[in-house]
Amino acid sequence: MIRVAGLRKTYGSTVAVDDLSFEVPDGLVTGFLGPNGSGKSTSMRLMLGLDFGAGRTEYDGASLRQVESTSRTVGAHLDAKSFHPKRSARNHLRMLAQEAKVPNARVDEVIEVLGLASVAKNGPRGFSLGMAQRLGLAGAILAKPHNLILDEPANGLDPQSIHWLRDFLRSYAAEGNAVLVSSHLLSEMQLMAERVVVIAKGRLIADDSMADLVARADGSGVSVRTDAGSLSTLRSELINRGYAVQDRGPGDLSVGGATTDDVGRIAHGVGVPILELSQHQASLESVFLELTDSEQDFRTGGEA
Amino acid sequence: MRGVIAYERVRATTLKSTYVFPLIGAAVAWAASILFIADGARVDEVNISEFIGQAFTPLSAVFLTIPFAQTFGHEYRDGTIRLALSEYPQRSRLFAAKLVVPAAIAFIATVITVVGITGIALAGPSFFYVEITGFSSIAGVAIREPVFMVLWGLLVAAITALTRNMAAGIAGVLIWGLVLENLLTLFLIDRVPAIVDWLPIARGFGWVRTGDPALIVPMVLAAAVLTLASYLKFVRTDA
Repeated sequence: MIRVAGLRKTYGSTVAVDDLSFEVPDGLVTGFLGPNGSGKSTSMRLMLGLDFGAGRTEYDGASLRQVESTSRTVGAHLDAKSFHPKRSARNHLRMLAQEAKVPNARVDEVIEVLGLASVAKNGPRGFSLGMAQRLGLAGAILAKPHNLILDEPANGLDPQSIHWLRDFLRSYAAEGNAVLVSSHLLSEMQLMAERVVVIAKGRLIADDSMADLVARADGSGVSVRTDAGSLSTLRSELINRGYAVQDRGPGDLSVGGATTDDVGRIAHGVGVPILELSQHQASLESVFLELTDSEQDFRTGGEA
Repeated sequence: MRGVIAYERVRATTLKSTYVFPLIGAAVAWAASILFIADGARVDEVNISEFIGQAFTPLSAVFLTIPFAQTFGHEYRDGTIRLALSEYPQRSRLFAAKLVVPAAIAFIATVITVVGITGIALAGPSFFYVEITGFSSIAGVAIREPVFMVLWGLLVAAITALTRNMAAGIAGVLIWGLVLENLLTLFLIDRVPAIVDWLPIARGFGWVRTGDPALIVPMVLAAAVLTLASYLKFVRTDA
């Protein structure tokens, strides 16, 4: 588990990260979201002790300086192309293997798992962004760390590789490890992450399970269609029970914050026939935009 | 500490340039020694300490100490410094390893170069009318020359770490030795005659040739001050 408490970083008068606290639990993939310039990468660097600021980050209850082996405690992949262009991929991993005394057999195993075998002896100068991401990820998991911190690992990956990354990270987390992943690919993040931490302007905006976050958002709820004569009865009953109800058309209602079970039971209770009943969920993208709408530093203009 | 030394060792030894540049430095010194021995034909007799000292030009020093520039320069340029610092959060150890490993490389490369120059000195009289003398003092210069290279390398490493720029480290010390010290002498010698006693690079070259311990003091001080400054920057600033 990663526990972040009171992270703060300033550059002159600009506050990049402001009293940020959250947890990354074991066994889950936690998404780390925020608009451009929101402080995600700075936060990750603070968590790893690469940048200096206030606050504390604990990995399984200890700071990085206290653990016996940092590589076995946390694996990080922050930049897609952090390697010497002429040092072979295998030697790059051998270099990173020294801290935890990882044997060469494990280096070869990781090369195989990440699909780098055919290029392992090559310098990464000519690697595509996707290949470079794989090499970065290989370095992060080399010592089988209990915690993973990955900054935009899906950038540059093709659809098959993204699918592979999703499965890989979910299975890595399922082994009891904590995984923190930042990404701008929100649809992908919705499939990959079970928890979400959202920041904007360096501050925590949301820290919740993906399901709860999406369910609570505007646009999540139930669509229900009944006959025109019963509509007012159903609407009144739903409003009386505290649900937010919107008319969508003749005989058609949208019920915010409800499940199909809730609406079905209520309709049955007041004797209203149900012609159609369906759950509709907000996308992570709409939730993200809703949460960060007022916090954008770099907003695009209107039509070109 | 062994883990971080191993990291640096693998980092350095998995790059061809770690071998190529010191080899160029050695080749330049060997070529200079051959030219010197040919030129020595006009003076008939050459002392071995003087001979070895003359063979190591600043150009050799530049190439022999490039591993010092690479140890910081490559890591900042390529971004691998973040990987290294996340693995070794106790930055003092990483900093120490980043000086120890290139120092070992430069020391060994310089010893090999000295051996080569000695071989040229021994073979010289077969080809030229020159006599090399003072072989009994060769152990002293064979130690002084690698020590001088390590001090030069520490200056390179310190400037590279301070600027996070490899070229600045390599060129900085060369310009310091060839240009700045000469300019200082030119403009200040009349007002401050003692200035010549405190020129690190010039005095360092003098120490290698003569073995007078007082001559190496300015270079040791310069290396210590710059190394301390670069250490403080390394451990206190964002990666």
